[in-house]
Formats: sequence, structure tokens, C-alpha cells
Amino acid sequence: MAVTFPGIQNVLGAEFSLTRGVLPSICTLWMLPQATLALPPGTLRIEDGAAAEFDNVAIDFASFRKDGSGEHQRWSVQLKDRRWKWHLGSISGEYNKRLPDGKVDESSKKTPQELAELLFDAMGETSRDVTELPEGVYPYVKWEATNPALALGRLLDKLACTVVLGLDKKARCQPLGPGAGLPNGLRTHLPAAHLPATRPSRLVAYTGPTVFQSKLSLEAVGYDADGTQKRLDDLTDKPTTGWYDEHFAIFQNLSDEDQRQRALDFNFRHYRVSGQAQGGLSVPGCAESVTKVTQYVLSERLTESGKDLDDVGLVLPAFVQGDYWPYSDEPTDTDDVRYTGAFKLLADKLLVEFPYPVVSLTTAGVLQKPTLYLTTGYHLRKEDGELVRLAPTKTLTGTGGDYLIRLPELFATIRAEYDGTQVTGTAEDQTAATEADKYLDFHERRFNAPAPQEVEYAGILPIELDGSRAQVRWSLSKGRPSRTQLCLGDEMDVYTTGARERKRREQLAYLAEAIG
Amino acid sequence: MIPNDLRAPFFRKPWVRVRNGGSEIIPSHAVMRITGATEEDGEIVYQVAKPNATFQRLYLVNGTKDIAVSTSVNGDGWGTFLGEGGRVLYDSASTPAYGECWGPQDASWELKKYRYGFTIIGGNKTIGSLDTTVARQHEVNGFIGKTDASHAKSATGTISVYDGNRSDTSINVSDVYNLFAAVATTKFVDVEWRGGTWYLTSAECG
Repeated sequence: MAVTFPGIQNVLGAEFSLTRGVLPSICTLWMLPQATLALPPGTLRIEDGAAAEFDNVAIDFASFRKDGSGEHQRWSVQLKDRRWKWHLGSISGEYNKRLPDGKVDESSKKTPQELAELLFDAMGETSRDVTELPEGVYPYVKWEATNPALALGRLLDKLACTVVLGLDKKARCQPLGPGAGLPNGLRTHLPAAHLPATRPSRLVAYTGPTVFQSKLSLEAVGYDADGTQKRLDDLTDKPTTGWYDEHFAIFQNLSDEDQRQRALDFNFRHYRVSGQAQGGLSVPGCAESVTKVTQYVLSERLTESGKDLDDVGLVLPAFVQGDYWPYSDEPTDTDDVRYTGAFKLLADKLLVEFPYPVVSLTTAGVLQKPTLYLTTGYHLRKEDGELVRLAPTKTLTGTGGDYLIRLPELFATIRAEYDGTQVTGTAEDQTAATEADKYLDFHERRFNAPAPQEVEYAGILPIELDGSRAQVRWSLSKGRPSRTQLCLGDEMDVYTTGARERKRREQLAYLAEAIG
Repeated sequence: MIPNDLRAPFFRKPWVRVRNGGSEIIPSHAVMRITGATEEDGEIVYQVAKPNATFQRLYLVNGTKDIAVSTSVNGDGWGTFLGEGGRVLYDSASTPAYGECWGPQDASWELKKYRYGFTIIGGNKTIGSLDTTVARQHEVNGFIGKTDASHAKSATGTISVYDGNRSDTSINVSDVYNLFAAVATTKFVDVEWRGGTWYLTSAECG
């Protein structure tokens, strides 16, 4: 039996619990006291017949102990594997930004492999293998002097992957679930495999709210003295002959100054969304019941996008079109023409505000309300308050309940197509659905892994961790047989901080970084 | 077209506020007789009505929106003197052509050929049921006419206004002053506006 580390002379025993993830594993050595422990990082070798070796291991902590008789001094030294170095340094960058149509902006596009490479570079980790990371998804990341190890942990969690230190000294990213299974060797007891009742029964890919785009009809509104918004013809204090004998920029028959100012400020300048251009409130391409126009949650942009001179995605703004008098020399309205003047979209109020009155004139010059439509992107709120979104699911073998995979950067887009005001069809982008299904596949693989079990072998077996092999613990001590414990599917070593606790600490560290 | 853009023609014209003092709706691009002016809210408001048989030197032209009758409510709108040119209604008994002179007529919102006050630019267009042309107004400072009676020297008299085609317009101008020799009745005369007064400046001999 031999446990060697450069500069440590008399090792009496060692226990090394090697785990997956971005946090370093700890090897505890028991040794005789010596002159110094101020030793640089070096290679830790554990050997009893077969051997396992780990480079760039560092002494992290030492404490004083007595041996079993209580008469002899011993040192307990904790060494961390080379992942101690990963938590130094920082990384900045923003990748996989989404355009309004749900696609990734090509100027910021990075595959999971590319993101992992950037993170390993930031960690100074040159010996790595990212080839087994999944493809076909583009997770959004925004790093601002972020700890690269924690960022890698987050990325891998999303992909249902992990990172292991290989016995070939490579840091290898691997999907959770599949693996090499139990190795051959002399087992000292029967494994106790069990399927936890806490395993989820269903996966739900919880994406961002779906963005709809359609042509919304607008109606002119004004305000009573108490601030109540009403349709123009329903206003309490309109002139006796109605609004259409008034001049829309004078309102000469409103003698009350407040009333006149309100008319000048709002009449024929404020137009509120009243429904869909083709009639009713139902959203094209969506079966959800819509009973109120306030279920529309407007944005100021379309689901379509353009590109700027540097090939960076451009957001296209909402627009208004219709039949209105364009302040020309003739009393002739436009015919379904896009309004190219300035306007404000007060999205939360479902209002379009024009700086000048927008009206319609007949060919005889008679004032009337114009026919206006707003085309913009919007979410749809269900009657229970939840926003309509894509939420594909996958059934698992467990019985525990739903497990949500949160994917806020993915969102479906459904754009109505028109002939005039009639919907001729809808164009639905499949990017979000395709990527969401892939995330379901990744996590299904993780949760449908074989039942967790712990197996103990005689001697030291150099076992590689992988997607199913979660933890290996080597124990050596003078005068006692060495042994190797392997945990498949989960970590069951009660003497080592468990995976869930480590993950919790990792998440807290990530959040603390974000707060600063 | 953008309402608040300098390209929009509306914003390039010097509009004045007008109030309908007549009993008819004033159509878009109508010629309007000025009857007076008031001030409201710090703004001059021109009182207007339908042209009649009174000869006037200057008129207003309505914009694109019609103007309601001011009975129980005020019928206000925006008009222009058409000093920079613009659309105005015309009597379709004739067709305006560039350079012609047209002018208001009694009991009509439309310009008539050979009358006084507007130079035709062209661009005739029928909008709905309205016949419009592009014209530019100038103040009327002279006309031709005929003496209604013998007109003594150093006296005022009434002159029948004749149009540019030498037809009687049925409009008369009274208080035309004769500085020169007496002129017999029904003689052609030339009348010009000098210092706020109409003067006979030449007359048919005999």
C-alpha cells in the first residue's frame, strides 16, 4: 500500500472520495508530524496493486489528532484535487442572445461545447474533453466577471451533464445517466440497489411566454373630467352636436377650459386596442379563450427582426397602418397605408398615442373616425393569470411528481398572416419547441438512469467516474486491507458532503457573486 | 404621409382660423367671403360666409375639412388666403388653364372664369363630387365695367362690374370717384383702387 505526495514523508492512511462536479474533492491523509507542510501542489498517487494518480493536488488544511491509543500525535491533512484552481479567475461575455423571433442571434451564437471551452480557458484548464456535451441547444449565458467554475456548474446543470476528473488527467464533461456500470473486481458485499420514491414522474420544459403577432384594431378614446377613459362617442361632456362638427384641432364649442384642454390632449390622439382586426378577441393560432382585451400583454416590437451593418440582429418596432387623412392638400384618406409618423405605444395601457390628431375625412371633407390597426408582438394571459407558453412534457419511470426545467430564453412565436384584415394563416417558429424537446431528452436520460447502488471492492480499483458512476472512495490504512467503494447513480458516502449539499453551496456562491 | 413631418403639405401653409357665419355647411376648398374678425383665446378668428353680390378685393379659401353651420354651436375651421397657392373649388362650366384669371361669384363657393382675384396654376382634380384646381390669390386693384348712369366729374357713381370677357357680372360697385371729365351712361370704363378709394381712370369716348 502506498499513498504518496511530494514532501509528505510518513503517510499512515488515506481516504479519497472522488466526486463529480466543479467543486474539488478532498483526500484526507493521516501522517506523522514532520518539519513542514508548506508544500507546493503536486501529484497524489494512491496505490495498492493498481494505482490512481491526480496531478496539481494542493494541501488545503491540516489539523492535529491523537491516534487510537490517545498517546501518539498524528496529523490529518486535507488535500484538494486540481479543481481548487478552477474557482480563481473570472469570465465575461454574453452568448446565445435571442432575437424577437426566438432564433439565436448569429453574432452571439455559441454551442455548449464552445461555451465550455471558454470556461475551461478562463479556469486555466488545458487538459479537457467537451466532445460529449449535447448539441442542438444554445443556452443563454451572461457572464460579468463571473467565477468560471460556478458558471460551468450552472451550464452543466442545465444540460443534465457533469464534469469528472479522468484517470487520464483530463477534465471530461459527460451527460448524466449513461455510464460504464459496475466494474469487475472482488466485491466484499452485495449492492443495495434502490429506486428512490423522490424520483420525478414527469419532466416539464417551462419555456418563456409565447409571443404572438397579429393586427389589432384601434378605437379612438377620450377622458371624462374624472379621468375615466371612454370611447369618444360615449364621453359625458361632448358637444351637443357631437365631435364631428368640431374642428379636431380647435374644439371651439367646448367652453370649459379643462374640457377643451382634455379634448386637445387626447381626442383623436389616443387610440386603444379593441380586439383583433378580423373581429373578436381570439388570438390567431391559439386556442386559449380570450374574454377581455386586457389579456393581451403588449410589447413594442414585432416577432420579426432585421440585421444591422455589423450583422447583429435588429429589433423591428411595432407599426400602425390604416385609412386616415395624411394632412395632405386633399380630403382623401390613405388606403391601408403604414403610418410612418411618430407615435408612442403605451403598452401597459393598450394605447397608441399620436402627437397630432389622426382623423379621417370623406371626399367632401366631413370628419370621421379613422380605421387604424396596430401590429405588434404580445403575450397572452390566460384567465387564471398565467401567460400562455410552450410547456412540453415527458413521462418518467418515477412516481414523485413534476420536475420543471426552466428555459426562460426559449419562447415560441406565432405570427398571423393577412389578406387585408382577414387571417390567411399563421407562421409558427419551431426553434423553441425543438430545443425544449432536446432538454427534455437530456433530463430524461438523467432521471431514467439505473437505480442508485453502492458497491464495495477489495483493494484499490482505478475506477473512472462518468454519467452513472457518481462517486468512488478509496480507503487505505497501514495494517488494514484497502478498499474501494463505488456509488452508481448517486453519492451515498455519509462521510463526504453530499452532492445535493455541495450543489446548494455552489448555487449560493453563484448568487452571492451576482449580488456582489 | 406623416402628419408632423415637414413633407406634409398641411404644415407648410399659413392657416388662419375661420368661423362660419352663414347658414350652409362650407365645403372643403370653398371660396369664403370675409365678413369680419374677432379674437378668441388670443387667436384671430375670421368670420366668413358665402360670397354674394358685393364686390370684394380679398377672400379666404377653406382647407380640407368642411365647416359646420354655427347655429347652436360654433362652426370653426382653418382657411388660407392662398397666397402660396393651393386647391380651390371651380365652376365646371369652364375648365381652368394655366395663367387664366378666375374669381368669386354671387351665391357660390366656386370660382368662375374671367372673374377677378385668382390666377390659375393648373392641376385640375375632381375629389369626390368637388371640382378643384390649383390657384393663387392676389388682391384685386382694378376691374373693367360700365357706367350705370352719367357720371359727373368730381362725383361718385355706381359702376357695373364686367368680367375679363366683357360680360356683365351683375355685381355693382358704388362710390367710384370720377376725377376727370363727365362720362355718359353705359360707357366702358377702367376702375382702379387708389389709397382706399375706387377711381375712374379711363373711359370710353363719345
